Amino acid sequence: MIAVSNLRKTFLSGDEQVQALRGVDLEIEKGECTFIVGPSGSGKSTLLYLMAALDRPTSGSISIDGCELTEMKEVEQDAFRRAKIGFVFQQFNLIPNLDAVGNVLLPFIPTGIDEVLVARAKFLLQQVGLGHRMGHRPSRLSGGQQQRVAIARALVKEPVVLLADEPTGNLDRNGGDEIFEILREQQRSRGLTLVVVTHDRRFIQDRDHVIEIQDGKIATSEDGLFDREPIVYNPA
Amino acid sequence: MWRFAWQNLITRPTRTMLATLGLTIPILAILGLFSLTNGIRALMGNTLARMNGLMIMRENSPAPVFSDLPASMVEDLRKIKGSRIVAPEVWKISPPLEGKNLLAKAAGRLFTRKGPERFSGLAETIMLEGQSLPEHLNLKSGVYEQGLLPPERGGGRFLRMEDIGQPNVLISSKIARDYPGADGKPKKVGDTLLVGGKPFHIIGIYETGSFLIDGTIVMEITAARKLLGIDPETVSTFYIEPDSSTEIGLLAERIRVAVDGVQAQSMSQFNVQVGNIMGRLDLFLLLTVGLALLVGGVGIANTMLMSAMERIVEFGVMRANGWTRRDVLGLVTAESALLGLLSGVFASVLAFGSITALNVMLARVQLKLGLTPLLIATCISVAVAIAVIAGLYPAWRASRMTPMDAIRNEAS
Ligand SMILES: Nc1ncnc2c1ncn2[C@@H]1O[C@H](COP(=O)(O)OP(=O)(O)OP(=O)(O)O)[C@@H](O)[C@H]1O
Ligand SMILES: [Mg+2]
Repeated sequence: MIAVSNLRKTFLSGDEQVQALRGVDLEIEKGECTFIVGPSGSGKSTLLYLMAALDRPTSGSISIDGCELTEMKEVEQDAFRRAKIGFVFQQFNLIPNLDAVGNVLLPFIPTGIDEVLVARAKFLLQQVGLGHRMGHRPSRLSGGQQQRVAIARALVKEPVVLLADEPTGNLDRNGGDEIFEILREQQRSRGLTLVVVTHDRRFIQDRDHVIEIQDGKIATSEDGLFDREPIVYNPA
Repeated sequence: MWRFAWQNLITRPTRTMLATLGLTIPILAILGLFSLTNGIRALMGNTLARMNGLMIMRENSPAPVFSDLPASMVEDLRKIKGSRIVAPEVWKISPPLEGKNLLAKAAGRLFTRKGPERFSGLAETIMLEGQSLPEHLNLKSGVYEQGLLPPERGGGRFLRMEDIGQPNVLISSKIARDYPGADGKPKKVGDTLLVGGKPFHIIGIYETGSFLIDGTIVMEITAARKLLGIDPETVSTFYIEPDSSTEIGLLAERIRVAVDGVQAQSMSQFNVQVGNIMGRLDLFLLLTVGLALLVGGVGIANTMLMSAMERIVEFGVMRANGWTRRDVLGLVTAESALLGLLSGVFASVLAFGSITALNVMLARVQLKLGLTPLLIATCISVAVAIAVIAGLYPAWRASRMTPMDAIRNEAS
């Protein structure tokens, strides 16, 4: 389903070259739930963004659902994102000028919005428990509620892949639990391929796959990281 | 898309208003100035189209009141083939009327009258024309005679041969209003008008509808000479009408060849000249206003740039949701276009309101500012075009980054 091979990404930061990814290989099967963990700055977000075609790798290849992202033109990537990839951010990243329904429908503003889409958006908001907040702007929603709108926005496209970059990073413990409940529920019912970057290992269940990244590379068991105690995330 | 663009504008009403105003003011200026030149042009056309003749003036004199020619020239002019009538005229700026110095009166009005009346004094220069009756009575294009008010409105009569040497005058209805009798009512036929301290008998009241002509007191030429102290050997101008088979331009050409030191201007030529001046005025206005437009455009560019830079992350999020670079470009451009449209419509409404009000005030001088639908449409299009151009750079900046750079823009 998702196949990444020898993926490298080098950023230019002034004169300095930062190697965020230095040869990542991985495979993720359709319908699986995969966690990417690793220390801060190890390249987790970069990997996830590249899988969403939000930037181009320096070298290597990414194939999703049989499509090679690196070979696509920019507009093809845009269309691919609209059709197949849902993305959830740590910062929620809702559009302040749009209400909840408007935010969910954001992907379709350029192509036109019809009643079918509106109905789908409203249904999704109900599913994530926001049936009573559809007309609210983000500023009048709590963090957890905003993230639920963001999940609905990622799902409205009926994607095959759902990518989430620390979706609970800005939420408290309860809020984080609720978000994961929703993510798992949606993943199961839709047969989504779910990839989540997280610092918080308590969400990881037995059947899940875990990919550990360290310093831009997949960590092997020799690094000893797999056996480490789960980090309990505890926001201030 | 347009609705979204509109929402983005109204969430920052102050900023939107300021940017709009920056463009509204120059657009308003354009509308005002062009409708003024439209109005003046129309007025000139009305006036001069009435006169199918040539005005002979001394070379290089800007107006009849500054021209002087020997009276004997009439013989030379009559000999020219194609001239039907050569009518001598004297022209001067009128001496004080009703004992009031005209300039003092204009200044006085500024302080004593209210509203539009205050300024009317400045717009009027009253001229005095003395006509040589044997010739003028035979003109086909006698504007004053044709402009006499109908009898029921007290129009009176035009000059006759027996008025030679008599202190009889025709005045316009405007002069009649501006110099009312002791009872405060406009002067009527039969009343007396003091011109340069001397009493003149009003025999007729005319109204041509053109403020250039309606500021003239008309009398017989010998009476005018006596009043103004002009000797019989001097005239100001000759008015020449061609015979029916002669084209007016040809006659003008013949006069230029045959007589030295004069200029022969057909009224239509005069019109063209006025048109040229107005054209140059338009150009000048266009340059001035162009500068103002540039400033307005820069204001919009600045606003759009600010708002685009603030929303870099949002644009990245839109890209992450399948928006193309072009979609983002389109959104920002739509916002600028709406700003422009808002400015244009706002300016048009303001212009329409104030010009309608001004026209009521200016009715006295028959100047009607011409705000045409074409002018409005042009101005709105110009406003939109300028705003779109001003928004291009911010739009380009907004769409340039990769989605990842855009999204991490603020987070990092
Ligand atoms: N635009 C950029 N320019 C320069 N360096 C960058 C850029 N983006 C990321 N990096 C660097 O790439 C490395 C990987 O960053 P990344 O955000 O992928 O890490 P991460 O694993 O998601 O960290 P965190 O857990 O803190 O979110 C870091 O060293 C970061 O400083
Ligand atoms: Mg990260």
